[in-house]
Order: sequence, then C-alpha cells, then structure tokens
Amino acid sequence: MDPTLERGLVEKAKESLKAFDQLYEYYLPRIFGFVYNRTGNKEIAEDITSQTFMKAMTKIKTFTYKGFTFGAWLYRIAHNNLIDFYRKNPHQVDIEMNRLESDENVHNDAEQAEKQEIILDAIRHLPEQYQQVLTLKYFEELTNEEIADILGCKKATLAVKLHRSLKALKKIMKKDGFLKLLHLHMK
Amino acid sequence: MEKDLQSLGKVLKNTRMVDSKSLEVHDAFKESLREQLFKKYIDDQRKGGIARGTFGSFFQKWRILLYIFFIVVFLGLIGTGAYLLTKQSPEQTPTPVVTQKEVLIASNVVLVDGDVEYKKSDDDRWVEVKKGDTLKQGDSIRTGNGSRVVLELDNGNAVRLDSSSEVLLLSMDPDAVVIEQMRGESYNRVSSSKEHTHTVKAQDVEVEALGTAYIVESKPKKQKVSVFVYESKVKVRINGDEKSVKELKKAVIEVKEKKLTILEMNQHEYKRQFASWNMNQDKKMGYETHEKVSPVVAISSPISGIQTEASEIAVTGTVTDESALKKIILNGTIYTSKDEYQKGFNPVDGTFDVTVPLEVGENVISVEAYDIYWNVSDVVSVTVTRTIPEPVVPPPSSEISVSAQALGNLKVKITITTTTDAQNGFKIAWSQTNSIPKYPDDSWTYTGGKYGPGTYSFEVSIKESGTYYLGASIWEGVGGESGLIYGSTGQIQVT
Repeated sequence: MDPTLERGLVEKAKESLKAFDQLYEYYLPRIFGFVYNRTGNKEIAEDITSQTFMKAMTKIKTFTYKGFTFGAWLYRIAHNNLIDFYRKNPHQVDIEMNRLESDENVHNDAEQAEKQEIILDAIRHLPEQYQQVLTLKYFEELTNEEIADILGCKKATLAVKLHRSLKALKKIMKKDGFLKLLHLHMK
Repeated sequence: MEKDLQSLGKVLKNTRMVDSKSLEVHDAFKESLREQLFKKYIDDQRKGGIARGTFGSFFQKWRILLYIFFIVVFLGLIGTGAYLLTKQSPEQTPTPVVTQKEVLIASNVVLVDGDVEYKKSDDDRWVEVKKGDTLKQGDSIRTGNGSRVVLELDNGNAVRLDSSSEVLLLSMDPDAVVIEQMRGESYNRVSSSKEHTHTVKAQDVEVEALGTAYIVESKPKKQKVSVFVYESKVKVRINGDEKSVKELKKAVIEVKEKKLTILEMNQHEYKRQFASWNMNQDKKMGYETHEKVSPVVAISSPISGIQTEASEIAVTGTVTDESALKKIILNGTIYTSKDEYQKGFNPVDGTFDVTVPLEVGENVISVEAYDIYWNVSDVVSVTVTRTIPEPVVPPPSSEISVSAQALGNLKVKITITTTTDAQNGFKIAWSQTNSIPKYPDDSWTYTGGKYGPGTYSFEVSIKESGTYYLGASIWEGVGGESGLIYGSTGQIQVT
C-alpha cells in the first residue's frame, strides 16, 4: 500500500470504522498468509489472524508512526500472537498441517506437501527471531526495508541477521537429517 | 557456503504454503471476522471508547502544549526570539482534538411534537427536548405516546421517530452512522452517497442504507423487526445473513428464529399515516417524493349504453399514468398481468382486455387502476344491457285449440280440442308472464295417455294464486319435440 495513503487511512481509522475496514481488506490476506505459512494449519491461522485484528482495533488509537509502518506493526502483533500461541500450546508444535480449499493458493502434490512440512519443522527449531526473519523474507517476500521495519532494526543489521538465520537453518537441517529428507546436498 | 545459503533461500521460497499477496481468504472467515470487528467497534463506542479517546487526545494535546511551553521558555532563556515563537505557536497548535470534533457529526432537533425526552451519554436522567437542541454520539432520545420528533444530522440525513419510540446515537462517525433502535418506529431519510453508510440496529438486526428512505419498526416484546423500503434499497442483516430489500418491499425478521422474509409492501403499509407524514417532511426538505398523480382509465369498448343479446362481452381499454402501473380492478376482480390469450391487464403498456359475463338486464362494468405508489384512478364505468332474444315461435296451430276455466282452490280446468292424433299425450304449461306458455321453460304438467282427434278436459293444480296464461302442445315423446302443434288461452285469474 502506498505509504502516504496508508498513513492517511491509519489516522482516519482511529475514528472511522470504514477506514479501518479498508486497512483490514488490504492486510487480511497478508497477515493470514503470514500466519498460515508459519503454522500450516488453517484453524490456528484464522484464530491468530482474528486476535491480531481485534488487538489492532483496540490499540490503533495509540498507534503512532515512530520508525515503523502500520503494516510492520500488524506483522509484529501477529508474530507476538504466534509466539504466545506456541508458548501456551507447546504440544501444538507438531500440529497436523491442513490445506486451504482454494487450488490457486496451494501446491497440492504430496511431495510438495512433505517438503513444506519438513521445512516448517526445521524452521520451528530455530530461535524466534530467526524464524521471523526467514519467513518474512522467503515466505512473505517482503523487502529488506519492510522486514527491518517490522523487526525494528537497521537494514545493515538485517542483512547480518538474515545470513545468520540461513546459516542456523542449514546447520539444523544438516544435523537433524532434514537435508537428506529434502534430497539436498550441501557442504 | 554462500551458494548453499542462496539455494537454501530458494528452497524456502519454493516451499512456502501460500502466496500471501495474492491469497484469497475464505469469504466466510473474512465476513465473520469483519462482523466481530464491527461489533467490537460498536461495543467500544458504547463503553465510552470515544470518551476515552477524547480524553486521550486532550491529554496528548496538553502534553504537546507543555512541550511547546518548555521549548519557548528554553528558547527565551537563551535569548532567541521569544517574539518569533509566540507568533509561530498558533501554527504549532496540535490538531487531534479539533480533527475529532470535525469527524463526529451532531444531530439537531428540528421538530418536536408532544412529549420527547433525551439523555446525554454521561447522564442517566431523561430531560425534555426542545427544538434546536443538539444530540451527539452516545446520546439517546425517546418519544411519548402520540408524540414525534425529527432529527437532522449534520450530513443532511434525517431520522424521524414515531410515537413511543427510542433510539441511541451509537456512532456519529460521518463514514458510518449507526443508530440503535430500542423500540418503536424510525423513518430514515438518507442522502445518496457511496462513501457514507447509515445503519439502524434493532435487536439483532442491522439495516444499512446508502441513499434511501425506509422505516424500521422494532417490537422487542414480540422479537420482531420490520423494515419498509420507500425508496431505492437497503441491506438487512441478521446473524451473518444479508439480503437486499428493494423499494416498495418489506423485510420481516423473526429475531428469535433469525428468519428473514421479504414481501411486497401492501397499500395500507405504504399509505399509513407515519409514512405519509414522512413523505411530506421529505418534500419540505427538498427531496423528490413519489408522484401523487392518479392513473387515468379509458374504456374503449364497449360503448356505454349498448344493448346485446350475448351472455358475455369483451371489455378493452387503456390505463395511463406518470409512473409504472400495478393493477386494475374490474368488477371486483384484480388483474395484474395478461394470460397466454392476451386476456387481463398489462401493467407495462397499460392495456386491458377482460371478458365479462352479462346478466339479463342492465350490467354496470367498472374499472379502477392503481400505480406502484398506490395512487388510484377514478372509477370508470360503462353500462351494457343484455336483452333476451325474442323466441322464435311458430304461429298457433289450427290442429289444436285450448280453453281454460278457473275452478277455485288453485285449480283450473283446461279443455283441449285436437283434430290430429296425440300419440304421447299433451304437455300443459302455464306462466304469469309468457303469453304462450311452453314446455319445458314454464311450469308444466303431462297428461300421459294416447288421444285421437276429439275434445279432452284436464284439471291442473297451480301453486300460487294469480293471473296465468295456459297452453297445451302435443308431445312427440322422448327425443321428439313439443310445441310445434300448440295452443294457448288468454289470461285466467286463478284463486
């Protein structure tokens, strides 16, 4: 969304349901997709997305532009909700993945599904911040600037974090045999 | 190493579950969450979210003012142009509160008829309303029995309450006005706008309009809400179910069963007093209201006063009006369309063609027409007289002559002289009006028997006294005729 337009909408949304609805319309698929890509479970993704928007509605009056955008703020809320969810439901780490109904959104072949499960499992073994960096970068395809915004760090720092995250992922995948499962050969 | 990381990045990208930027979220989830957010917004408003917001904004304002003050003092202390700062300060005045005041619209009381009271959002007391009072978000207003009030909103819309009604101004956000109707009836005149919604909530029902006029009637005790749409259309929602209700239709919602039915608005509902009063009010506000011109009926056939022997007649003609037509009523029967034989009434071109049965004598055929706004035409009538064809009667036969004599006690002696054979006997008939009484149209009796030429007398019993003609004819038997050979008497006084 155009930053100036978003800024105007956010100011309006503090008093206007309609303006909030426009933000909702734009960010709903993004936040839902972000959570779904992290969990692979539709019901949990819906729950966390709902919590995110309910919280955003409550807190929007206090939201001010202090170095990060409204979108970044929403992703932060969603991420925090995800972390909370896994803390409260540790047994849910091995949740069964379920698919969205729409064919357009999902690669349906079994091999792909298996790969997705392996990758998600490997990511969940990483520290929270690394999980966030990798998913925002590779699942959500956000720019480094946007990710830095969400994480509240400088672009240069983000590059370092990204590198470390990938390295850590590779290490885990190698150690736990994930690379073999994916038929990947790395040194 | 770097290559490995790059390819790992690619693997990650290729194995993501969904592309969030092009993802289409399931509609049911999207709408359900939207509704939850809407309810939360409304709840926050009711709990004084705006009041807190206002306080917060004031607080923010004063905090900023405090900062400015310190800056001014600081700058003054270091001797840098306090004069310049004081000139600038008005420009630096923060605007959040002003913005909010501009954002929320007010509602002005422009007409009070009878007992009307209002309650401020921060007060539990009901206070008498006077013309010119201003209501704001969170305020409530109610009318007593037989009373009415008109509220005009800053955005040009109007809410009018009928007798014994109460509403709460839930949200005065210019983009999304929400009126909560506790009971009674409200008429909502909403200016056409794609950007700003006007919603009335009654029990669990939401009625949203973009530009329209409609009445919401809420009966909490019966758990029933009715919505009457007088112009354009509204959206009616209950429990996630949304239906569009068009002009001249009504939605009836059984709140408990969450059942929403859409029906045609009937004449009584369209013309009832509160609706008519509102239309007049709309006119005063400069809105174009429905035309009041009545349709005009012209019967092209038959011409009034004609006579016919036919037992039915085709009535044709045309109805003209400024607006669309609804129906005609022809001799008490309603016609709203034409059938496959092009009989009936065509509301599109106004033509009608109806076959009407005729009674013997004078028939009055009356037509009246209604347009969609229930304007009714004058009744137009034509008179058609159905006559009975003169019976084709052969002249009395010379082969038979009849005479009669009253015997008293409602008995008559009839004497028949025949010059021909009556193989199957005679049919004797009598009538008070028909000078040549005939079998089987008039009262009759049958002699039976077989008679050759000669004179025969029979006694006939008649039920009521009066003046009668009598006649006799030779019957040709079953399948044959009676009456070709006949004779009749003059009038006989039967006592």
